[in-house]
Formats: sequence, structure tokens, C-alpha cells
Amino acid sequence: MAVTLRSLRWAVQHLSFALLIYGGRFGVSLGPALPCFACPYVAGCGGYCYLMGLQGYIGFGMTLAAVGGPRLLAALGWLAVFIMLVAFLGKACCGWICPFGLVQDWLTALRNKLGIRERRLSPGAKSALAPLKYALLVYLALVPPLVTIGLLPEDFSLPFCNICPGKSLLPLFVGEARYLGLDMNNFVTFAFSLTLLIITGLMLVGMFFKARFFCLFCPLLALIHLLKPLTVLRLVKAPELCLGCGNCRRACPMAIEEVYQEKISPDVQTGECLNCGACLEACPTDSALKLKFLKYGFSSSRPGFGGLEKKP
Amino acid sequence: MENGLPDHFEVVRFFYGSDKSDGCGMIRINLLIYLLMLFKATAAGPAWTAEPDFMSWRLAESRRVRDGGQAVEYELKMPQGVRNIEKLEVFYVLRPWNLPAVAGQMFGPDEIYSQGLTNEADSARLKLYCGRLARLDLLAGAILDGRFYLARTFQNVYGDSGRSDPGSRRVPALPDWPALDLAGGAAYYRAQAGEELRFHLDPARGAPVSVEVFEEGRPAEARPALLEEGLYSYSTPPYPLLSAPSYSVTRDMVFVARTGEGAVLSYYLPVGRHRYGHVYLQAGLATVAVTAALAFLAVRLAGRSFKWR
Repeated sequence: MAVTLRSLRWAVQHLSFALLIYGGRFGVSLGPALPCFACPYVAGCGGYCYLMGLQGYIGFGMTLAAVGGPRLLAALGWLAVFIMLVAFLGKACCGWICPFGLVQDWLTALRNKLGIRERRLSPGAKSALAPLKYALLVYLALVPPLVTIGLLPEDFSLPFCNICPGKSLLPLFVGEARYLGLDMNNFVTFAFSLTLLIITGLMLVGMFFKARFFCLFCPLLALIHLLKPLTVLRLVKAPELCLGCGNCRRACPMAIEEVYQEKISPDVQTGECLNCGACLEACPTDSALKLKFLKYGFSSSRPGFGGLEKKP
Repeated sequence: MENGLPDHFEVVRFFYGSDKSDGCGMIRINLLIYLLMLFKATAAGPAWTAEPDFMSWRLAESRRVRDGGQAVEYELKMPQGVRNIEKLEVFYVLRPWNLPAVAGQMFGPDEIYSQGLTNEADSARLKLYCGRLARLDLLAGAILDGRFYLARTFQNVYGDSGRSDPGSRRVPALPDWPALDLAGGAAYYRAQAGEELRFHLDPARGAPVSVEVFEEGRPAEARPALLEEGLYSYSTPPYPLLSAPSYSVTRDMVFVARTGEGAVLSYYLPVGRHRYGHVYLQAGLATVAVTAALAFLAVRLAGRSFKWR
């Protein structure tokens, strides 16, 4: 049986899920600079999302800058690790490694099993939502310093984690449901926890009806995209080979139009692309789309839809 | 006991710093006291640290105020002969107990510290306000003649009715990860049966850290189990830390964390913030369910008008 890109990705996703959610129990420690939603609220995780560290480092940035020393070096070190991981893996962090991405894919698979069609956002709605992830990135970067200088209480120190559905959902996989509870310590924690629960409810439905719904809002995706010039894994297109069938946009879980629309430039690595390779498999033209690692082709479209075409 | 308010405090002596004091301990005392808010004192107190006659508190005055809360004043008496009060601070926990209290009565430890404490040569008076639906839990620490002492209420009080809740297993409001910089020394924590503890030990500074468990003043049988489980990876912001695995306490025990100079020790109760009843979890799940149901209906019934295609 031929190994398709889809089955390979599915296997990698499950392996990374096991590693990142349960790895800590077996001594795996991949550090706090992972470019994917490996949530530190999961007890015994094998590493965690850089967004948490970033909020902490930004919040303590002034202190770190003032005192210098090993903690400043550690902060810079983890930033370097994050950049290196992004440079090496690019958006594959989202499409192949992210545990929360896999949870979304499970919901999509469930919907498919139930025979419910996917709801897709109109291009207008999509473009209206696109800036939100950058707004969240700005939000998580700006709030922690306000905590550091005392303008906001300490409960704001992790402003994004407090509303991230990964915090409420991923711990469920280790039997921890407490982040689905209201936090009544004070009004701020209550407001955050209520917001988180409402977002969780909305996301559950959104992720069920729309593939990779949360990725539309993910600030980590935005952060990774900002580092695009450094990444070596890219989706490229040979416009001259494109038949214009539109399979790529139909197959894309993020409903990206640009890959289909691009007629000149080979660079079709957009801000929302997850490098999942769904477009490659859907493309009927040999080598019209490629996932390239540096100058080497990692995978490319093939006649017969990458082995997915059913034999008569 | 007067009007449901605790009329005396348990006193626990806290050893600060290593045998070789580095002289910088004083500036860290706030953090020490903060950590010590984790203490869950009992009427009996840890036998090996309690010195009930050393530092005492009494309820000097209490009166009900217009909105149903209580204005109270405690007097802290210094031990006889002790005059060298290097530092005295009082922290307290007033935790809103339900939503109406949250909306109208928010207090922070700084308010009490800055507004209500009068520090005199051999005594101190603490004025505070206990909100109508708030829980009062006091903690005071003092450095007297170079030693640090801790006094803490051992009963929970509700401002509205004067009810006290001495048997409560509720944990004082805690930040998720109160971190403590130790110049070297020991921190104590008295755990109660049923608690789950998780220790975070930071070996980044190369300082040795060990955790010992005492039961009734003697090393507990559980100690080897705790230590043998070893460290495994876990991290807390903003610093990557290593931690021991979570540990479930089956009997009342005292944990002693001994640290080397410059070590960082933090620990927290992972279920502490939500252990006071499943009602908040149920409310949270209901919130998720209602939100999801409404969103589901919106998608199914009005999908097209929301520009789905």
C-alpha cells in the first residue's frame, strides 16, 4: 500500500500529539519554545507553546533588561530556539505537529463520518477575520508589560493563555477538567475564565463545522508567518502548469484562494497556509505544486492525486 | 471568638536563610511571606515549630458597618523583651465568596498593608475591613531580633454572618505559581490529607534543592516515595523550571523544602483554586454547553445569513 502524504501527515500528527501531550511523563522535555500549541497547562507535557514563554519574557522584559544575567540569556536563548524551529519547520509546525491542530482535524474527521458538509467562510468574512490573529499577537505582547509596571493586576500576566481554548481542551487528554471551571478567585480571574469558556464553546462548534477554524485566529500562526523570510519549507507553484481546476482551494482546510489565483509568482506560501499538503494531493497536474525544503522538493503534486485516486 | 472573628493566631516560627546568612534576606521577606500564605494552619499547629506565647494577636475591636461587612482591628503583641522589630508585614486574604461580592468588594493585600497597619515599638495594630460576603484569612510575618516569625489565623471567617469555618479545607487565594527566591534555607508547608502538591524546583542556578516530608515531627514514610519519583520535565512561566511530579497527600504532613543558596523554589496546589466545590466546574461546563448549543443553532439555522457558503 502506497504511503500518501495524507497518511504520512496523519501519522506524524499522532506521534507528535503523543510526544507533546504525554512525553513529559517519560522524561521528554522539548522546552518552552515550541512553535505549536503544546499547552503547558497539560500536566506532564513534553514541551510547550512559545506564546506562554513569550508573554512571560515580554512581561519581565524590563526586569530582564535591567538585571541581565542568566535569565536574560535564557530568554534570548529560547527566542533563538523558537526562531530556529520556525526557520526549519515553517508552517509544518501547524499542519503536521500542532496537537491542537490534530484535535481540530479529529473534529473534522468526525463531521465527515457523520456526513455533515463543511461550512466555509466567504472570502469577505475570511479577509475580515484575518487581522484578528495579529491583533491577538499585539494584545499578548502589550498587556504583560502593563502588569510589570503595575498598571494591571498579576492576573493579566498571561493574557492570551487565559482565553486560549487550548488551555481548556488539551488538559482533558490527561484527565484534567479544572480549566473548564469558573475561576472565582477574583473578578479578573472570573472574567477571564468566563471568556475562556465562551470561546471554548464557540470554538468547539466552529471547529466542527469548519476545518481548522481556530487557526483563523491563532496568534502563533501569525507569529510564524512574520518569520516567513527565514523559513526554508515553502509551498511553491508552477503557474505555467496550472490547469485552473480549483481543486487546491477546495481541498485546502483554510480555504486559501491565493494558491489557485496566483498566475505569475511561484511563491504561494500565504499567511494562513499550514503546509499540510492537501492542495498537493488534490492537484491533478504533475509538479504544479510543490512543498520545497530549501531547493529540494519534499513532495509534489502528481497525476492521480498523489495516490488518492481510486482505482477502477 | 468574637462575632465569628478569630481572636488569636497560631504562631509558627520560620527559619529564614542558611546558617551563613548572606545579609540580603530582608529584601526578600515579602516573597517569603507571600509563599507562606500557602500555609494551612490548624488549631494545633506544627508541634515542632509552634511557639504560642512568643508572638500573640488579639481582636481589639470589631464593629459591623453599614453595608454588612465588619471593620475589625487586631493587635499584635510582640514578645516580651523583644524590641528589635526589623520588619513587620501583614497579608491577608479576603476572597469573595460569590458573584455579588466579586462585583462590589475587591480587596488586595496592598491596601491593608499600606493603610491599616500601625507599627509601634513593641506592638502593631491592624485595621481592616471584612466584606459582607468575603472570607478573612490573615497572615502576619515579623522579623524580630533577626529571626522571622509567622502568625496566621487558623479559621475562616465570613463577614456577613460572623460564621466561622474552622474545618474548611479551602485554600487561600493563590497565584498559580508563587515563586520564592531563597538565599538558602528551608520553607515549610503543612499539607492536609487529600491535597495534591506539586513542587517546582529550579536547578538552573546550580543550587541543591531537596524536599523532605515530616509527619508529626518525624520523617514520614512517604518521603522516599516523593524523592524517588525524581524530577521530570514541566515548566512554568516565565522561567523554565523542573518539577517533581504531583504528590497526593494521604495524611496530614509537613513538607520541608531545603534549598541551597540562590535556589528558586516554588510550589503550588494544582487543584487548590477549584477544590472548593464542583459547582464552579459545573457552572463552567454549563457555560460551554450553552454557548456551543447557541452557536450550533446559529450555524444550522441561520448559516447563510452569516455568509457561510
